[in-house]
Amino acid sequence: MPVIEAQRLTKRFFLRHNTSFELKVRFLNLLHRGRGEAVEEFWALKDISLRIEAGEAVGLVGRNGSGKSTFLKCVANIHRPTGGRLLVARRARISSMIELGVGFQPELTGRENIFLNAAIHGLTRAEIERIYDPVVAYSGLGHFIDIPIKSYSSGMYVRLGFAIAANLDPDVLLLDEIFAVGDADFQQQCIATVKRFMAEGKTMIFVSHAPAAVRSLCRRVCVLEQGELAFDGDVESGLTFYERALAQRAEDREHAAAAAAAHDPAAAAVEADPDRAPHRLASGGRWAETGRWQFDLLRREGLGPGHYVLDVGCGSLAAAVYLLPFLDEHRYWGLDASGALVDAGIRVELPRAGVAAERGDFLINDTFELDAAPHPFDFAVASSLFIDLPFNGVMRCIASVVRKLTPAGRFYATWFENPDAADFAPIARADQALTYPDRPPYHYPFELLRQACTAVGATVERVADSTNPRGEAVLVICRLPSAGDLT
Amino acid sequence: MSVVVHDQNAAGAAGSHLPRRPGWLLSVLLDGALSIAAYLASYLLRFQGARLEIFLPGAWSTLPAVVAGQLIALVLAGAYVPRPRIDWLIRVVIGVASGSAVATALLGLTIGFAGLSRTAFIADAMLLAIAALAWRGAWVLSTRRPARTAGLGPDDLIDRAEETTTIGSMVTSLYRYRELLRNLVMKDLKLKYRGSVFGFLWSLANPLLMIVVYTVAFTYILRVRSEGFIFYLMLGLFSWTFFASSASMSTGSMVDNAGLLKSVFFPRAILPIATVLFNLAQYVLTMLVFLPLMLAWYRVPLAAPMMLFPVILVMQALFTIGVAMMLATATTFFRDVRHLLEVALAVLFWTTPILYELDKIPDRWRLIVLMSPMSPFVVAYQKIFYFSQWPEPTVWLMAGTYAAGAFIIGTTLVLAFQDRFAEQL
Repeated sequence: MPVIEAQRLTKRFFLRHNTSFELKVRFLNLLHRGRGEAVEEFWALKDISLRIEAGEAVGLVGRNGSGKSTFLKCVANIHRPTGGRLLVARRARISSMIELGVGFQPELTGRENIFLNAAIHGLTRAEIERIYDPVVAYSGLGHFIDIPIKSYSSGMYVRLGFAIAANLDPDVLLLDEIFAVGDADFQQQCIATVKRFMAEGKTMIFVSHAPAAVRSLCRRVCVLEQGELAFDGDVESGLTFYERALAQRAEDREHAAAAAAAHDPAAAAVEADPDRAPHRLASGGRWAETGRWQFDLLRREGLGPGHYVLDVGCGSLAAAVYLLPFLDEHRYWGLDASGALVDAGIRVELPRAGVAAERGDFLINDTFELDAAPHPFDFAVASSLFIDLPFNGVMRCIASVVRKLTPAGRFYATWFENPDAADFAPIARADQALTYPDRPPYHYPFELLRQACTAVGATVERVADSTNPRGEAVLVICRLPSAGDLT
Repeated sequence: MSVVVHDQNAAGAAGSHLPRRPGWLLSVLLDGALSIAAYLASYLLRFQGARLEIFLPGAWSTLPAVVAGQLIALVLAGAYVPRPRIDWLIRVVIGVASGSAVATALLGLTIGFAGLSRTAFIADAMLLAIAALAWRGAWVLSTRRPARTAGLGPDDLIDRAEETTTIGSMVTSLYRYRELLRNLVMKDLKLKYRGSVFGFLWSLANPLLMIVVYTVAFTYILRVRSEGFIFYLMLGLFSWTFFASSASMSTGSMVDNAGLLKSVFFPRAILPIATVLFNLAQYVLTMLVFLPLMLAWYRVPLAAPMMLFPVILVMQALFTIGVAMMLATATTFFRDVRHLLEVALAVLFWTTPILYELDKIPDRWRLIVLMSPMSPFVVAYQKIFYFSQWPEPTVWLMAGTYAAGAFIIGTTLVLAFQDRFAEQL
């Protein structure tokens, strides 16, 4: 004769991600269907079928969120099942210890709280008076029973709660994780009480993470996994099954983490601390601001979505994050010497920014080889590139880029200026870092760059701009009208 | 691309709990009868004595148009189509409101309002809405869903998924949990006065202070001089306070007990009921102190109508419990209810004849003021104690409608939604 029988029992919750109880939000949701409040279905119990006979003690184990408490709450009539059947003996007195001491009023005395709490569990006055003395004796709080329980310690609080629950004298007892609270003494008392119940032939379902408690109290274990009944059988096999599942899962998670880390340390680094990720630091720091600054500069200088743009030294795509969505498809070309950096940009930064890498094209070489690009460029930009290049490298860069510009094309580059061409001392920059004339990070006199440009058939001018995040100065390089025949 | 939309109303929890509904013919006949009664009652409320006889012919002649208009609107709004519980009730309200509005507008445009009363149309719509909701609520509460026979387990197992609470089972469980109700009320009373030296005397200080303030304002500043004004004021103010503080406390009765609702089963309706009973206890205690004082001070002789006090008290308590259950349920889903209630109470205070007399306001406003939810109860108290008269039938009609309507609608709401409280909070 079953006391509890579940037949294909299901329970659905609606998770409201934008938890708001305001009418305003409901009203706005009416206007924009599907926006604002996201309601997601969550099946806490899926197709649970099990039968618990009178006098059985069943341990319910499973990870957090596997539906154990939901099942107890359905039996206790707190939640209504969504589907299937949950048959419960009509005459069974069910008492639930889902949270000990819930409903206690701190201002009331222990005595008053016993009466209130027992009444919440549905006892009549006569019944409460009958259990009152046993409750006080059981709790061992006789001395404190007439003081407000706000002065109780948390241990005394739980003790009183369990004392009431233990004396309710139910036919079916639902216990949720009660062995997780209180001291060892209290837990011993709990276990002794539960054993007494079992001896009296009461039915028990109890949720626990403690294998020892399950082993000593239960003859049967049910393992729930993500709302499904994964195992139903004897204690040892059940606990083994559960522990194996736990270990399997931990292993899976480790594998997944290891695989992710091996596959992509960059992604992990960005998630940990975006600004300390190696691929961002490699570009010289202030990654995000520099990217934004480049985009703003080009926009200010007349960049439109139809222009072809060459990002020289694109690195981990700080500027591409802004340029790619703005430009039409295949107008962006990124050039960098380091394939690893560009790769990190495509794998990590573009998805983070929600940008499709397919919109642009990338060149990896350290010789400024641009022949693969089919079109001349309207704009080129090189941010913090010249500080890493020796003078001949700068000349080679300028020469290659200028050849690949349209007649009206412009090449914007940042560099650290050496105001006095005859001075070869290191110069301290805003962030105390030093720049040198003959080793990286380099600084160059404007005059020298002007001569380099002239030598490769280009003109150069300063661009008044004081907003560069790294405090670099800005140049604009254009091709001479006659430079076309250089190609 | 095809889009398949899953209709939550048609399937799942709401659908499977559709109780058996009355047939549409019975519903239409019942609504028709109630529509006739409500229209005539509104004229009865609007005009008294000889004037009623002058206006009654107009009411009779327009009756068919109004009743037809309301019924057609109910049909159009879908009130007779099987729907989940709440949707069904909302359609009734929409149907009654739009039907009355259209019928009124058409009558006004075609034959004009000569010989008719505009306020009576409003009263008619309100009465019909309450009556139509209430009989549906009562029906839902009193019918058991047809038990599923196929493969149902042994007779002494109940299905948690199918279990329905009816008014009968609710009363039984409330009775079973009477000790909880008593404990909850006692808890509030104890908590309120524990630790204060004067204890219960404080609950007298507040009404006393209110009386002093209003008396000073009205007799010395506004110079409204009338015999026994304080006594009159007290009757209205105390019963109003009972209602208003019950209503504002009830908005928290579910929300503030979320922990309890999530971990123990007990009849959910107990919480708002306990809130009202706590306020009722305070009201009765206050009246026990002040009433004899006032009667003695103003030398009011004891009169037979005063025996009606318990009757009116019970009606007001039922009404307040109904309102409290509606507010407690609504607050779990919309936290705005608290703020809306504050505004509503401020307005209702002035539409209730507490500081003025119902019989002294212009005749055309009388019905509007009488329709204000607390008015019939306040007027009844004033009639039996201050005027030593029997309350008029119109007062009884309104008080009875509001008490029964609010109680049934409130109970329906709590029972319809109690499964979702633990999930919603």
